Amino acid sequence: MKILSATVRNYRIHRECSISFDDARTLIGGLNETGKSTLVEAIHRALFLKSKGTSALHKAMVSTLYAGHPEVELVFAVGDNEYMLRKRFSGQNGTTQLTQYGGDTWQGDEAEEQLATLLGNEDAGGRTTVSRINEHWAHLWVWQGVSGDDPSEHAASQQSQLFQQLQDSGGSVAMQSELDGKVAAFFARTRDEIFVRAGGARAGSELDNAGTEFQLAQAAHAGAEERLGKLQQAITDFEAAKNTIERTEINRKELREQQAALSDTMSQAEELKRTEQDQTVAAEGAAERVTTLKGIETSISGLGNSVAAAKKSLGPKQGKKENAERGLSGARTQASDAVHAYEEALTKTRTVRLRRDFASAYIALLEKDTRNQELEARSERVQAIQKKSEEHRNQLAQLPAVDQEGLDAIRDVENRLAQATAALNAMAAEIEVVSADGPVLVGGDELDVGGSRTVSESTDIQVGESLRLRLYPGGGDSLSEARDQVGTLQGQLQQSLDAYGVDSIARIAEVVALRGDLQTKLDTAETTLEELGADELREACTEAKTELTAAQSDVSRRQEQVTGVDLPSKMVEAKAWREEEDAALQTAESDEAGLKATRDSAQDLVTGLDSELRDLAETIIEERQALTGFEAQFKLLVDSHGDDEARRNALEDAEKTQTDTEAALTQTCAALGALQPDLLEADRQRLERALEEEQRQQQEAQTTRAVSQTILRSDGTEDPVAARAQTDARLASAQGDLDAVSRKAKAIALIDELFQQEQRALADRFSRPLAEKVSGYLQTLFGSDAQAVVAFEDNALTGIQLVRSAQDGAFPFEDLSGGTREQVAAAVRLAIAELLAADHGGTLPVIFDDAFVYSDPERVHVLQRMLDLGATRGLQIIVLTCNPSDYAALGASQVNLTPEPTQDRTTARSAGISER
Amino acid sequence: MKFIHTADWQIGKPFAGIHDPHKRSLVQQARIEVLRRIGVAAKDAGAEFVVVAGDLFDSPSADKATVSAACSAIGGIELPVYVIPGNHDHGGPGSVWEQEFFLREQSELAPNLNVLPDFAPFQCDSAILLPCPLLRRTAATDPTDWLRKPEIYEGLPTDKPRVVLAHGSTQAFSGEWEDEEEGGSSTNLIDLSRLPDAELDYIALGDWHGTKQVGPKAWFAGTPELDRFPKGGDHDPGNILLVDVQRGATPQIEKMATSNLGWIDLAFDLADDTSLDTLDERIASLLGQRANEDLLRLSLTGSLGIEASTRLEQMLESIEARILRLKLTDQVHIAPTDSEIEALTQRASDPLIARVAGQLVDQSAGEIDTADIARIALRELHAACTQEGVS
Repeated sequence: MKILSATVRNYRIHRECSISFDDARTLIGGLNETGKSTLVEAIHRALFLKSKGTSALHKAMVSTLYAGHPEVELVFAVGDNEYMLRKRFSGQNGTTQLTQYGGDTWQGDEAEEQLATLLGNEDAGGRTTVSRINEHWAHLWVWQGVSGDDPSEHAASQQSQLFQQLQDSGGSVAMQSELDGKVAAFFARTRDEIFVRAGGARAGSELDNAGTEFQLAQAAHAGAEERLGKLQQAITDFEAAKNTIERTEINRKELREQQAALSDTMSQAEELKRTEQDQTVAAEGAAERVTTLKGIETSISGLGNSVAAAKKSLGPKQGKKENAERGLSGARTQASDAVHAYEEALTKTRTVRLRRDFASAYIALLEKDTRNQELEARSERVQAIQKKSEEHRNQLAQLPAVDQEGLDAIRDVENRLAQATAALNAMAAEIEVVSADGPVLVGGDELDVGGSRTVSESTDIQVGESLRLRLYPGGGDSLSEARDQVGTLQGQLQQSLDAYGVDSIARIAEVVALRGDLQTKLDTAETTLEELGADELREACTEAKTELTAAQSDVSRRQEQVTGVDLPSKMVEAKAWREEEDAALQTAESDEAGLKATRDSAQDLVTGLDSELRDLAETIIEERQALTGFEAQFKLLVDSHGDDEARRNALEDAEKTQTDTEAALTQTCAALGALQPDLLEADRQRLERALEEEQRQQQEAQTTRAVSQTILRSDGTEDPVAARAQTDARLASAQGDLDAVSRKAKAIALIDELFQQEQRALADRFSRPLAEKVSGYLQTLFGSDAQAVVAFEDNALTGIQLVRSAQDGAFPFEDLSGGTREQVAAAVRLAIAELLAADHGGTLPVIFDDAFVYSDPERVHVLQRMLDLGATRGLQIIVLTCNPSDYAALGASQVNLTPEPTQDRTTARSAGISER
Repeated sequence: MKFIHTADWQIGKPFAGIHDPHKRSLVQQARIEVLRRIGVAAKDAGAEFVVVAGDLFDSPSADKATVSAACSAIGGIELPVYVIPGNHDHGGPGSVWEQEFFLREQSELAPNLNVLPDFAPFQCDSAILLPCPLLRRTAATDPTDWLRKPEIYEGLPTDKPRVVLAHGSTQAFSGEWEDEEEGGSSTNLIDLSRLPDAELDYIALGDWHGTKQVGPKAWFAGTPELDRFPKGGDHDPGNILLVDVQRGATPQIEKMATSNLGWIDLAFDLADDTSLDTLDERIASLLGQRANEDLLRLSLTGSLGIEASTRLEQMLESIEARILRLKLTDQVHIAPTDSEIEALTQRASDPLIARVAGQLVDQSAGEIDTADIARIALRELHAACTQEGVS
């Protein structure tokens, strides 16, 4: 269905207004209060309000400005047919006429019914309040101020058509029946009765009761098990205790028997130990006696042997002693002779040595004497030289102490003086008074006429009273300098001469020559003295004199010891003499050494023999003493222990006693060993321990028996065996019940789950075509990711959600901003309109009356794509706006409403509006 | 000389598997009531005494009520009753036989009851009893060991028959019964071949709950009142034996039925929904018009449709109410029939139910646990769709 044109008369502010609509896009512009909304309201009323009527709606149409009843004429098309609808809202006389072009015409109620049929309107005009009447095509008609409302609410009046369309679009999806709903609700309810939301059993439910009973049964079963277990344990304990008591009783008896036997054995062992001790003492005594007797026998035998041996040894030693005494006597004589000979040799040697030493001393004396003389001669010569040098030195000392250098210096001064004097003389001026009137004063000295004077320095010359001249000889200061130099040099020269105490330079030259001669002589003498060793000479003389004196003393001393010597005067003779004496000494010393060896040998022999003899004598004495001792001991022993036979008998007796006692001891030891005495104490302790342990076990068992007996002494109030059987059965039954109830509960939950799944799937299939269409529109605004989610519940459209992108998730309609709500709502309306259009010849008008007041200019601009898409898909888009320029890009056929002139209200004139 | 040989009374058996306390009490009471019938039969048969070869009580620690009831019933048997402790009511420390209360009740209510707890010949007026009591649940040695010693027979009267009382399994033979309350087997082996045959005239055995001869002179009397479902084989429970015995002669045995309760074992395979009727008929024929006299162990296999399985549940509910106990092993799968599946899945008008049912049908294939859940879910969904009360 689409509206082709509309004319309204006497409708509120409209006197008469006609408007043609484009098939696809119509933009109706106009300032506020130009009647845009009134115009579309009039069209809506014409379509859905019966002409007959006096309701508030009818009254609201009446113009307060113009006389006459409100009239609306509509030309519209449904499919290929075009219709003219005329309605005159004149109260109970209201008229309706519907004419199909080229076809029938209907009047009144018939026309109303026909119109309702054409519009698919089930209750034809029965609604008579604004909110009620506006529900008609509310999804297509965006009244001013409702553009942001949730369009799913407005779809209510067209639910069935919408579903029919959705069903058709979704491939004839079956709708939930009433029974479906009831059964699904029944299982949801039943499930809710069984389970809480979190999934656990609801308190008081059959499942919960079964679970509780199962837990109770488990507890009861565990309790019964425990009681029975205790009883059975008590039986076990009792029997075990009984067995223990019996066993320990037997064990104790056996142990006590063992203990008694052990006690006997231990007494026996004690007895044997005592015997062993006694026998040991006896055996040791016997052995000791045998040992003593044997020792005595050995002593006696040994002493006898010793006596015999001593005697045997003493005999030869006596003879040997006598021989030795004889040998010693002879040796002593020989030794005496040797000593004597040696002493003589010694005397001789001494004499010879004295002579030889005397000769040596004499030679030394000669040598010293010679040396002394030589030194004295040298000393005299030195003294002579030294005397001469002294004279020279005295001469030298009398001369001025000037040398060649001093002479040269004076000569130099002399030369320089001569030169300075010559220079001065060259500079001096000669003043001669040739004539004068008056006195001429030169340098203050009057110089008479003809007088001259040499001046060598600045000199004032006064002639008369008035003339005064100053003369600078030599041109100034040079003269004075020259004169100063001459003076200085003369001073120097004189000073030098004075210093040397001479009066002339010639004299100085003479002195220098003289001094040189003297000095040469002195140097020569000095050299000679050095060669003569003058410095050491005095000391050497002294030393030589001393040595000489000593040598003289030595010689004179020796001379007294040696007689008969003629002292040679010459050294050569003296030396020959000494060589002679050396040879004699060598011979004498050699003789002496030989005699000394002979004497020593003889003396050694004497000493050896003497020692040997002494040893022998001592040995003889010792042996004699030993022999006496042996004999005394021997006698003593024999006296004490009897003779040989008596002693032999005694030893035999002692040995027999020893054998007997030892045999007895061995026997006792064996008997004791057999009893293992070391282990007996351990055995005793072991048995004691074992008995104690048995005793302890028995007591413990008696306690256990008493305790278990108490437990077992049942009073018969309850049979634990039967109780356990009861609880077994209860548990099994509870388990069975719980299983059955659980299974049923699971089955209920399963059914509910499946119903919910199916309902969701159904809703999804219903809503998908709508969601796809809405998404298509939304994508023109929000881009290709935008999606719409349309929710259906219980066969009703319940909500719209916008998904801008997968990341952002879904936003419920009510959470969107005002502008976005308008846009999304518009998309939904267009989508619904598109779906419903199928029932209306493929097209439906969608009216947007100032529908995008919250949208920003940018979005309004984009909106035109969406509106254009609706138009492209066959919808008739009608936009009313006070800012037509906002929709310039829609490419719509534009109509502008202007206020109708008040002075002439019979006609309405405006661009694009024509009267019919 | 005649006497009654019986055993395994197991008075006080809890029958804990029976949840209804009243029914449980009835089954327990049946074990007391059979004693009255034993007393009458013994009297009628001219027996001089009754021997109980072990397990008079079910537990070695029977409670007071059990002790009193047992003593009272035994007191009603107007003959001496000789008892040995068996494995269930073994002697020893803490056993019922030593309980002060038991001793008091015995002297007051059952002076004719004689407990033989010692391995020693016991002379009564007309026979010599050779008791082999069990002093613990499992004896370490053959309780008849002591009978192998020749010296014990010295000085025994030669004119009185010698009757052995023992409890346990013979080597020739072992228990084949299954009892949910037995709690593990306890084998006390008795070697009959090692007993001096000539010295003995009859061996009264207990433990095996069926009546059975295991030697020329050796018999298991069995329990006089059934206490469990038979497993199969040639068991013959619910009897007592009238023994006619003389010293040196072969004993003459007469079996006498005493049991009252029916312990029925039935296994049934439900091949399809129609087999449910067959089952119904089978059970009807087994139970007749009786109520509270039978125990039924029913093992069901096979599969049923949803409706049939609901019907089976109702059937079982009725059976359970009517009998003392229904021990059910239910391995019947819910296998919705094609029409049931169709009814759930081919619902054009209810697309949700159809789809949910379709998924459950898919999930219910196979044997895994989730498949079982899915089958139950199908039944629930079926019920919800057919019931009015879903709103």
